[in-house]
Amino acid sequence: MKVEVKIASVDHDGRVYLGWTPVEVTARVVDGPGDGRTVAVTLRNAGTGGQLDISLSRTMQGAPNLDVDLPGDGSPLRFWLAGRFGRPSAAFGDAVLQVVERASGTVLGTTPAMVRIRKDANALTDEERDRFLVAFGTLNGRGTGRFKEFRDMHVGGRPLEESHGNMGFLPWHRTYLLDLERELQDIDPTVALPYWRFDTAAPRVFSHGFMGLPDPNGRVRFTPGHPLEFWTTDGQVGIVRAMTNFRPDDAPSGLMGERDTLGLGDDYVDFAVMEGDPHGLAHTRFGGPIRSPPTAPRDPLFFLLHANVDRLWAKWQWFYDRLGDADPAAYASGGPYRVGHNLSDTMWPWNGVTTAPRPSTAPGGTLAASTLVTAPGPSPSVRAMLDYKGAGGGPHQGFDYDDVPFWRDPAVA
Amino acid sequence: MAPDGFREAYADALDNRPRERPRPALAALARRPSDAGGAFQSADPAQPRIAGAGPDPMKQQIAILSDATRPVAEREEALATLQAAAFMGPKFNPYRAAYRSALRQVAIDADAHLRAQALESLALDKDDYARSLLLDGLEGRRDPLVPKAKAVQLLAHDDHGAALSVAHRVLDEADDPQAQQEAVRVLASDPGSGSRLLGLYRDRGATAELRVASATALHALDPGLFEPEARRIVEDDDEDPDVRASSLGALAVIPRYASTRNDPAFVGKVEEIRNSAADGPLKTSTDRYLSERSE
Amino acid sequence: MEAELSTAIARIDAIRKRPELRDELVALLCERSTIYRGLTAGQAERLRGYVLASFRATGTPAAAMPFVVEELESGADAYAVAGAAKALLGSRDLPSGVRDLLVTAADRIAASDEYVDHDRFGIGGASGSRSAHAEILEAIVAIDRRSHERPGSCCATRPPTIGPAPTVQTPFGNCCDGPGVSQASGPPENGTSIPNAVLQDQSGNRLGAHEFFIGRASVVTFFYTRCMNPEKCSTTITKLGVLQNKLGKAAIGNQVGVAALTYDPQYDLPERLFRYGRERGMIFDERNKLLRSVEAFGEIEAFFQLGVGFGQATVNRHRIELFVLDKGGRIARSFLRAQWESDDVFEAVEKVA
Repeated sequence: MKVEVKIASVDHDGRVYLGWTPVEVTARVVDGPGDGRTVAVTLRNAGTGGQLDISLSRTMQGAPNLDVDLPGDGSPLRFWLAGRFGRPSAAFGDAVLQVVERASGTVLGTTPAMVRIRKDANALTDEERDRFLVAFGTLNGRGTGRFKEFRDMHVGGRPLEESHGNMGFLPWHRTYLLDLERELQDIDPTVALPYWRFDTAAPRVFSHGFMGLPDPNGRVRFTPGHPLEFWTTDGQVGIVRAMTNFRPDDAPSGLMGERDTLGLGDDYVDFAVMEGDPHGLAHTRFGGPIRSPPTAPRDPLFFLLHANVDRLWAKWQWFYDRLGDADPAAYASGGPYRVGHNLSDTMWPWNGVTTAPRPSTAPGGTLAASTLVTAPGPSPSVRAMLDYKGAGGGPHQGFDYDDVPFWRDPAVA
Repeated sequence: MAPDGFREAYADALDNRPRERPRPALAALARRPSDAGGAFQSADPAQPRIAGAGPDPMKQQIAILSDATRPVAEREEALATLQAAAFMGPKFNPYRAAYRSALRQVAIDADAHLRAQALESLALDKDDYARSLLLDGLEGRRDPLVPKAKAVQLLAHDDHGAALSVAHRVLDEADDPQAQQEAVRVLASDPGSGSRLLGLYRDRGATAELRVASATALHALDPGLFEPEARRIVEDDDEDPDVRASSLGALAVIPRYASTRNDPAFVGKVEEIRNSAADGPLKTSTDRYLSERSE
Repeated sequence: MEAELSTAIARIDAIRKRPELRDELVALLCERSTIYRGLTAGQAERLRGYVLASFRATGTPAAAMPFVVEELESGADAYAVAGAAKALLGSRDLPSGVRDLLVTAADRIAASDEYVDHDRFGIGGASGSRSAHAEILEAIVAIDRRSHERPGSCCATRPPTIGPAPTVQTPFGNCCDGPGVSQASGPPENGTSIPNAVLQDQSGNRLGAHEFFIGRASVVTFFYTRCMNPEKCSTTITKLGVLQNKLGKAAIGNQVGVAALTYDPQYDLPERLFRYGRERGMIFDERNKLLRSVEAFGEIEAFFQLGVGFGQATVNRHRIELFVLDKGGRIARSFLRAQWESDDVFEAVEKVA
């Protein structure tokens, strides 16, 4: 007798990846005792790294162990499984779901998994860092994906108006990051995009082994053989990033910290002011392409910086309970805004629309697909990018931040 | 981190600390209403481009940046604020002309650091005035505004510009190692420079930094030229270990070189290096090469 | 190069005072003019902007209008686009839709706005000058005023007047064309067949031009992957993908070849071509290719009389250009400078398929 577990959150090889959002799981007995009888089992979190919570309903209040009786005839039992907030994985397989027969203690099924979460880049293990860097270097080395279209995606004029200086700044960049992360995960499914907390010191990030350190001319140097050493974007070889504002072991100065940013207000319109400070100022803490909008994505640090911007939005959404699009304060309720920035608008370039006032070309195609989830679809709307966790009951998008729970603490909410 | 009480604790921390506000100039720009029709609407001559009464915070920042009598630190912060504002795309458009004009003025400022920042901003924007200033400095028509290496690097931001002839000249002069390293990167966009890059990559008399910079440029320009030389260098035990590590790093990570794993002799050599090399970049590269899946 | 540029500027300044010589200025707008050789893209745009703005003083001949419209429709350089707006004011016979062109031009250059001074050749105006955006708005106001004061004088409903560019010898070459041109600066139609240059496609396959272009009707356009203006090459290849779709659904679909050749064949190796096309929705098969000339690009350039100039590294300026070839590899129709519509190209190729 054994128990077969099916989790609808797998990669091309059938390996299970989870975030904080509970996903539906079914377990059924194979070669069991037959009709009318049940098998008493414990669903058990048995990992050594990433931890799992199990529940019979879609809640963040699952438990590491859950006793259930599985039908002996092989009918499936449905339950929910999520990563335990605060206990993400460091590698695939360090999270494990076991099914144990209560009477005998026999293990009837084992499912290795990964609680794959976007983490503080400065706190990654060496292995996590290297997996990320190799995937990033590989993607860049392909010469495709987000690295070829920068010239057309981020140039001034209409393309920049799709993504900046308007209400859709945050949803557009959330999509941009998700697109990149999915391309990275196509290379290595264990990779999640890390974020650079630009309000704290990150000496491990600013090192020769990670994002590199500049020489006096701002030319970024790496340890020989580093996966980003042959970085090429837009015909430009290498990375230029002078550290003009802070030393590698200090935090940047002169921009708003996390709590001040969340304190901008509980209405999206107030929070969106963060596009200037801290977001814009974070870009200007350096010299080099990252300091200028049309060239900023040439620097791989751009994506870590923007992951932090997105994390701040995600945390604001969680803190103020502003995920649902029915909530007028969850997004800009005024308008209408320029096309692409209203709640129901789809976003360029993923929508492929090339008629004015959209840009006349939309390179790169639709949003990269994920094997784990279907949301937000190939051509997402602004609305689709708000509730990325599926907290309102809809589908989640397959990413989470290490310090933003699935939903609000029930004791407070 | 237990979820219970997490938000409560966060809320306490949020409330019980002095609150910092965003920079007023940036907050004011960010709060400016976004128009519905994009610049189509703002192009209507009946609509003033900069609305509102009172001193305009962005104009004030431009004035501070341009004012050579003010402290440099203050002007640098004004520059950072303006550059941050530039990320707000269309909202900053009404100030672009004045901003660019101020940058051109600061590009010849007495303060070297401020000058370099202004020149870089302009160069990233492929500004022709910045190009001419940099060229004049390199060609002796004026005192250089930035070090030679920086000038080459800034000119290289415009691959439709004038960097190519400068790069060849800097390599010919061979009197500034940093500038040479910047120069070889420029050649990555010149189809006629493949053999020059190959020569520099294999030149054992050159520094490892220059050779690796040449390798990165050669890879970008013509992978077909890079790959055999990278393999040769990896296989050569007398070669510089850092150049070998970098070369193998590229073969390990970049998908188009995955076919090198189909060559048992080469893979065997990498295994041999791994077994014999001391801990360091070369050994790390062999580990990475041998562990990477081929795509 | 600098000396030739100075000579040209002096000549332009002289023509500004002698309007009867203004046709010479039109010749200076042709990318093939020797004056552009070796210039950076920025210099080339500035020179064009200066020439265009000169028409404000000399009056704008009809032959210049395709260049003016082109700049307003797809130009990316603030100085040059503002120069085109001034040129518009030099014309007494404005084509339809120019007001909309000006509005979209103002939109497009807003993010690269700068102070401009078209009165003397140089870089940037002083802070007291007017910005390029303001110049364009001024042109809109002037056109509105003209329309109000003299109804019917502006923005007629008929299409823009686009006649053949005059054949004018200048010290910088005679790049504009004589009889047989359907639009400015184009090659003769129904002339000889495309030269049998050796080409390579996006997959690395070599083929002769005749192999691809003779025996079936075809559409061929030009681009390069390093193009900085998304309104040009990126848009051209995107639209080519749309045209492919349209042809694919039509009866003539399997009888028409669709190709784009790069202006930058040494840099645009097959892999670069493949990526560029794929990311813009192009379909690749035996009838649909991105191509580079392996050698003798000059023959191709001469045959199509391409509107392209080169700096020291790569292209410094090019026009939008698409040609419909008949089954004999002869040019049957040219679409030059203005953005082409896939319906129009479809119709043109249908006639020769």
